Amino acid sequence: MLSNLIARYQFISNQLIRYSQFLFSSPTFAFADCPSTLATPKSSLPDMSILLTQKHRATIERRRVRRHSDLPMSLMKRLGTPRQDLHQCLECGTWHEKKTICGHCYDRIRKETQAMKDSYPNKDEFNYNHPQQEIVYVYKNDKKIQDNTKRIVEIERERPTWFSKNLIPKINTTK
Amino acid sequence: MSNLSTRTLRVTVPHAIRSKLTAGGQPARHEKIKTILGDLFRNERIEGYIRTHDETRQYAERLIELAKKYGDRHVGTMQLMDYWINDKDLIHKVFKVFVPRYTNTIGPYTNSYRLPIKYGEFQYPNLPRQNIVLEMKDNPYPRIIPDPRNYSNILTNVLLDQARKEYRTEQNNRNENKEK
Repeated sequence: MLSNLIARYQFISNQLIRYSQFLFSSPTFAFADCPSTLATPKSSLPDMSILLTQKHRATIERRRVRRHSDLPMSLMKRLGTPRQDLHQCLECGTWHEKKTICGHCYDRIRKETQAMKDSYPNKDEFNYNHPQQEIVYVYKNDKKIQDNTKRIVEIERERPTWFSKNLIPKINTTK
Repeated sequence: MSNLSTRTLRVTVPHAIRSKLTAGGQPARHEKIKTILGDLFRNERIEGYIRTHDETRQYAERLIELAKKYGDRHVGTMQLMDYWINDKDLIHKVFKVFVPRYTNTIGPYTNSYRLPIKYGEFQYPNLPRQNIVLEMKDNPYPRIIPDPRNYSNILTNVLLDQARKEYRTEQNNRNENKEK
């Protein structure tokens, strides 16, 4: 029994030293026994389950509440109830949380905006001496505009089908 | 500062504690807001952490509102512009692009939408973060919220429209009969 305890103590102390070495990398924690090279931060991390064990025995009442009750601390309440805040996107059908926008649709928009920004011819002008005019992006199919008050940037691709020309629609209008 | 006054801002004010926005106190917080403001005015659509970006949204609204009210020959507004905008070419953009663009709009000049949280990517000490998209209104890029749908051809809507038309014609006929 004593040997078992000592082995357990040594194991825990080794883990703790490694853990502290990862957190506070200072010369005071440079022990001789520790391995000299740390391969990756993940491998140097200890098994966290040792640090998170429970200290005191829970009473029978608390255990029963945890198992069977309807309180939010109950396991069945916490993990077993289905989520009600998931919505399906009307455009593509992927699931997303109620408070957020659809991620699948937004990826498409983000790529298109990045492509539009990249098609701007003079990037130094865009980043350091920004044009003091409205920037208008004209696709291949669109009718061409001649206006000196606007900065016109031509894109050689065709306009995507989902990108409507009417950028400022009123609410509750039909297409 | 006290001489300058605007309407109340039409954006939601975040409840996060402002001193905990960044490490390093008030000057670090100001610098963070300045960089995000410059990014927003230049690119017109940015992504980032909700705390910092929702905070800078108010500053952008306030600067545009002051620029609309007082113009570019007012001392106080120009001092504020000089303080909050690091790249000086963007001060010209505020007066020459944003002010004429938003002359007729009353409400907020920016939009913000919550992005989906990537739960799987974060390891233990880093918690999953809520990011948002901030954008100026009426920008040339494709809209984030999709086009409004056309529901008028659904069968129930067609029947309701027809019923409404019949009801109106009946009412008109009755009124004409009464007048006679």
